[in-house]
Amino acid sequence: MMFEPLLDGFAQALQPMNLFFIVAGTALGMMVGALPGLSSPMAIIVLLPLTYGMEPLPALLIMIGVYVGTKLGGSYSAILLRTPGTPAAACTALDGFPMAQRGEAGLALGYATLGSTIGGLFGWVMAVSFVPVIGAIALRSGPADIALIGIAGLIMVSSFVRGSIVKGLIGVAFGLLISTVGMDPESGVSRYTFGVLDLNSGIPFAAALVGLFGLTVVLSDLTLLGSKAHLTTDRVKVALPKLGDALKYWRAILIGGGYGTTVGAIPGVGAEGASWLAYATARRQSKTPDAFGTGAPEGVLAPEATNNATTGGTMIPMMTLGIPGDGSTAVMLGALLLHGLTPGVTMMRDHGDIVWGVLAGLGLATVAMFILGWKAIRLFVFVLQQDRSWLFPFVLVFACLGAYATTNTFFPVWVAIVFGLVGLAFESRGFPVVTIVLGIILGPIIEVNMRLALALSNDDWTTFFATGPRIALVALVALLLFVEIRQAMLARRKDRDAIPAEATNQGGM
Amino acid sequence: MTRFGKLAAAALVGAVTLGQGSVASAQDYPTETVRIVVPWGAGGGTDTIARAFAAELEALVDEAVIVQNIAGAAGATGSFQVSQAKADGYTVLLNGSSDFTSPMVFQDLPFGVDDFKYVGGFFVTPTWMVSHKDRGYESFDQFVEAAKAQPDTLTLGVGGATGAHAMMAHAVRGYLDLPVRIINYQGGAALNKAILANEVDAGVIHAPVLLNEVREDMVNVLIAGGSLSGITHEPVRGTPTLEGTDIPISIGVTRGLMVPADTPDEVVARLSELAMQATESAGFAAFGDKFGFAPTWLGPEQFEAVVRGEIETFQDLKTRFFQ
Repeated sequence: MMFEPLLDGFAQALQPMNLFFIVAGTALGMMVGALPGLSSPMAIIVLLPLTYGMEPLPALLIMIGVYVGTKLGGSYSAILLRTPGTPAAACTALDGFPMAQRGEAGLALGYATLGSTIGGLFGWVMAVSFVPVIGAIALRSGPADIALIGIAGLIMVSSFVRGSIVKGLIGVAFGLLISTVGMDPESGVSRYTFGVLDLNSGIPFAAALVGLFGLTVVLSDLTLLGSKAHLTTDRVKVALPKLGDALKYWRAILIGGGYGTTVGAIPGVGAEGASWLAYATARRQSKTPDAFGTGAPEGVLAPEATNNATTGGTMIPMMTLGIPGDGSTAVMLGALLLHGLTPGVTMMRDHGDIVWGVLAGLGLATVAMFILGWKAIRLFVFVLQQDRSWLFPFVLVFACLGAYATTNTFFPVWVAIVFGLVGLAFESRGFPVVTIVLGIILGPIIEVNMRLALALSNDDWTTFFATGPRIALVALVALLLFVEIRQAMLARRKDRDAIPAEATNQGGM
Repeated sequence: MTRFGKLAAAALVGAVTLGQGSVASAQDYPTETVRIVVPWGAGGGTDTIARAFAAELEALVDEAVIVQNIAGAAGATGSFQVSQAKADGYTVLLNGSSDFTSPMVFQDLPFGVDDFKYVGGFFVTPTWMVSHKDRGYESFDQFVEAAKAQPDTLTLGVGGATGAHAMMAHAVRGYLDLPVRIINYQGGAALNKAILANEVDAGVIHAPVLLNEVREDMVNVLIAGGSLSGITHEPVRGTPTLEGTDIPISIGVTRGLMVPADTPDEVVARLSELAMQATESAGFAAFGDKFGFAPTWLGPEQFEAVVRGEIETFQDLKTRFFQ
């Protein structure tokens, strides 16, 4: 009985055309992932205008394929070039590249393929088990719960992203600022619209995403034009490790799968933070921690299992709460809206068939990724070696089309262009754009639900501590902030201690 | 004849021919694709109705009838674009009356009622106040009594700070001097979920939203903004209306067609005739059956009267009951 909706999902996803879209999406994703600089949200943005005329499920399936495929594709360039194809694969380079250098490129790719597949399937099982459970609970959640989940997500994204928490928080705050533009949800007053009619419903987030993920990447990669990649080896063939050999490292795989799913399920953090966490943990737990960084198979398995497991993890908040786990799912949420589906707690109830179709597609894409990675690797390695400058014009055109398609007016295209430049400015100063994106998306969710919660409780703030789960969420937020502030203060004290020492030294001279 | 005279004569002849041309084209209108602009995203109530209606209209003519969603600025972007479009009857705005009028009352918009000609209304639905069964309100009177017994405690959810839902809620609160708290949700979908999750004492939403839950006896209908005689679920057809409860207004949404103000009258008349046929077609009746409410046709004058009447009502409610 329990499996019936899932089987229905498979029945839909296995229809010939849908299956084709899954496989094609996965292959495209692997290519995109293999090319450094091109990311999965960017590829999904490029697909937006192309899928606009399709039914919602096939459109989402092709995006899911891309999403899954990029996770493995990113490891190809990490292993063969030491330049990770995606930020999430950065960790894979630590051990994958040394393996390739000592002539074991095929084996490294094999471990990456196997790790990604097992991790992906692990995450998928988790998604399939938890989506219905969380979905049922979410339908009964109140505005106060949703607001707290949003706040926790924002705090986490700012502390997990690479770089400093201060920069993360600045990015988040900037995103929140953007999200205040438009009509006040409570009073209907126009905020920061300066009389511009188009701004009344706020800055369209899908257009902002197109700018931040699509145009920013093209702009910041202009310097790479005309460069071709040189591989460590020209004889690339995947050597799948014996299953027994791989299972020796079950601990690394399990750690990766676990971290990937849980961190993926936390709104906003995504694969990037998760793979570093998993790598560090796998190293601590390993019997041979010193081998890490010199080409240990575990060092490839752990991050690769992680980044594919996140694909399952991110599905949980996306499908049940309408909150994206990372950049790619944020764009997919935009695609849902374009197709007339309202993401959120009612999604499971109103469009359960699509939810299950997408989940089935996620499992199938992972399998497709394994087969493609095993048998067709040469194609991806060939793509990897090409000059990708010819791609940029296409990306620009499709990104603009995607922005235009959100309302069928030109206004979002301007928004995308402005955000492309804003993103470039932020990226070049080390502020991760994903924090801005999460601010823009979670900002309205938090604002609306917080004000609703207060309106419902007659402005009684204790509503945010009224139930067990709410207390837990508040405690989590407080703990995260406490840890971060303590670390920052400790670091400062160290600095202060260091300065007088220097001063005395100078005085003595 | 002077050169200027020749020019003037030529212009006159041209104008006459042009005039005849437009009469001729009105008779065989449409001779090209008709674009129906829905100023909302795909998948909402107005969009669903528009697509069903466009399909019926297309079946009546030799040309294609397409629906284009031009969303943004709470319906204003698409409406404004149509008001600026070529006034030839091939760009038509399809919007809900109260979705069209309430922004005019609450915001500064670059267009107004006079920038359009009214082709007709084809789907008239009132708003209704509904309540989760577990709240225990069987009738509007019970709700009113409970609200008076516990001032400022009962909550009444609406799907947006302005618009038909909010108008009805403020009218109920204002006219009856009822101490209830109005809770603004972000749109109908969020309110829908809140009512089902039993988060509010009652909610005001467009009929027939939540009809399935009404049928399954999960949700009670307390009062309606207008007549529910067109609803497919027989037991709620006799629900009391605002007008029957000392609140002298009716509130709902009439989906209808509008064209730029300069559109020739003959073209409007022809389009109106076609729209009436589409409304009364068997196919659209079947859609109404599925949707939960029977379509009704309102002619151009009636539809325009609805739109202008709403503006007056909303303006009055705004000055009296909105802070």
